[in-house]
Amino acid sequence: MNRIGILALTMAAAAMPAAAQQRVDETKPAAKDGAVEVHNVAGSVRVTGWDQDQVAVTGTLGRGTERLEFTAGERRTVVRVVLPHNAHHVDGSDLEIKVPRGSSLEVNTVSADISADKVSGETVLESVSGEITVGGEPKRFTARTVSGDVDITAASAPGQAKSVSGTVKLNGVTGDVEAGSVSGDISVKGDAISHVDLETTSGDIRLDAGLAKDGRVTAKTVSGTVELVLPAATSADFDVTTFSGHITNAFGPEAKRTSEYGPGKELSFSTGTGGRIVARSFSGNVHLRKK
Amino acid sequence: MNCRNVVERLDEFVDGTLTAAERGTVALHLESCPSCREAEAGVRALAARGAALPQAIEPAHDLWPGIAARIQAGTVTQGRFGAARHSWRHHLGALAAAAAALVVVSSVVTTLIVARRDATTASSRAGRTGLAAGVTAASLELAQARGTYEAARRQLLAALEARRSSLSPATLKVLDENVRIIDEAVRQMESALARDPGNQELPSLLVTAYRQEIDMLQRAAGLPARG
Repeated sequence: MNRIGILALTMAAAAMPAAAQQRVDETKPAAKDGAVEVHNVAGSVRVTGWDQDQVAVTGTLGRGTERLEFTAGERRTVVRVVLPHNAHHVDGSDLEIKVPRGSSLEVNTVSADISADKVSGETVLESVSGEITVGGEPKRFTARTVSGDVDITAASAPGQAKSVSGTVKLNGVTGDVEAGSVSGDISVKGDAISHVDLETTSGDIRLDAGLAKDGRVTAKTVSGTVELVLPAATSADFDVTTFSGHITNAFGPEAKRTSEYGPGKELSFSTGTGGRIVARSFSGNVHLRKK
Repeated sequence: MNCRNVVERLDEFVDGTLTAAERGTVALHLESCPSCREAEAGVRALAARGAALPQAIEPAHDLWPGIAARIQAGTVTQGRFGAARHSWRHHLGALAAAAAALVVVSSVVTTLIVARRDATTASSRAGRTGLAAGVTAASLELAQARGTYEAARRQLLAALEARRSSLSPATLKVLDENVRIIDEAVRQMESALARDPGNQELPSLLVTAYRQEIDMLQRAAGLPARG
């Protein structure tokens, strides 16, 4: 075989998708507070912040994957699992990525689960059906899925968590947080909520938390159930209305009918100054319970 | 910052509420990205249009039949959004326009809620100006909000329809089911509002459902292939 033939064979082999799983283990220098962008279709992406000015990628590329694109510019590092055009039977790729702690992070997947921890820059994670988990203390987080669940344990970070049908869980959150789901449920736990806005169409909303000084909670649903479990000593103004649902209240007064003829009910009372609790529903029930 | 990040920040960029650093980053991106500049122009145009909305409407007595007919025909804001286009570049513009449309919807309904606090006054004013029975300034404003929402929804449903073949059946099933859930919620709330037009909370819940549907459809139109 002549040299041209050998070269052509070598190039063809390099361009062929991997027939079996491939191990990945690469490291590149990165800015302390640069941007890291990750794209993976299926499998998993696990990102952890560390105290080195490097991005390190380890893991496996699934069978049928074309290659891993790993490029590092001065301020931006891109990690992308590249699939062949018109790929059909490609296995998921599992990536474990270490990034400088101060990085901002953006991860996009289709079905791959995403987790991010110990990253202190802005963190934007999006998946179609994968689950998203955010821990640590990012400057701000955004987590969005269509059907995947979202689990936020990022203690003091402000941010937004949204799904269409997945469950959204906020655990130990104290920052300003907005959470929404159409048909998925929302669950919030924490000791000192400062400001949360929760919205669903048919999903249930459950908050089991204490309020920070001047804490604000707003929960809106069309047909889901709203259950707010609060410490008995909660000091706040309460403002609850429902068009056709029921209201129960463990803190004192009973709900009044808004009209002599309609099914609507409203409940407005105060247990002290500082906090504010607002709940709105169309047909869903609203329950105020003591811890 | 990529195109999606920039489009998400266009409202705040146009409003001048971004931090200096973010504003600089968005401006830098816009200089080199024609499709995002197109989206920015759409947001600016709609923001200007929203700002020009009156604080209160004192309609002529013959205004309602025309508006009702246009809503019925689905042409209230059709000229604004134009015919459906399916390229990614045009999707960006359409999505930004739809997002901006929701700003208009929200502001109109905020006005509406305030107006409803004085529903009795509005009704008596309607009586004085000779409006048809049951037609108030507030109901005209709700019709305007609904028209804007419907136009944004139509545009985004068309964008989703154009790319159904690139999305997985499982994702499409979730999206279709949740569009149905929101549409049913909207239908029930509109029916309730028709029975109780003075209700002060229903418009706010309606806008929440409008916003959730537009938000979901925006995300659906921007989902990656195979998603």
